[in-house]
Amino acid sequence: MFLSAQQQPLRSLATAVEKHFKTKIVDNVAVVTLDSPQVKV
Amino acid sequence: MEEFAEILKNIENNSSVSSAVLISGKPGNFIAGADISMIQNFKTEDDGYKISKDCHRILNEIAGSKKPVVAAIQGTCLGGGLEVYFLFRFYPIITNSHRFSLILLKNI
Repeated sequence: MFLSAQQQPLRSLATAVEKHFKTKIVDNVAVVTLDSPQVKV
Repeated sequence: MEEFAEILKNIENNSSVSSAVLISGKPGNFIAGADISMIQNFKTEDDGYKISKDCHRILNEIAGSKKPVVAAIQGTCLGGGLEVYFLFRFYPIITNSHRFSLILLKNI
């Protein structure tokens, strides 16, 4: 995926506690990655 | 689930975001289902009912999102993961390396 200069962490979208998800903006699209810690799947 | 609902609310309120995509950070897996240990820790039937009701409420919020949300499914998609797939049934992106499964239990 082409990453524009807009790629940035979604600080404005960060929740109080981000345990299972990481979010970032790429070309005005919020990319929400589910990645629970200490879990293989 | 509450965490994702909060993220979705923030996405809807952010004018610089036009849409969203949900992907997994685990290679070869999308969502492998509910946390069985959480279910095993239920003390009463009401505990399970409350969790189920909360999950469905959040899934309904996702379904009612004002902005397009796409699920990129690569790999295993089981149980609750399949429920999420049905949520995005009009917008899933599925690779060739996928596996779907849903186990339904009868109350006995």
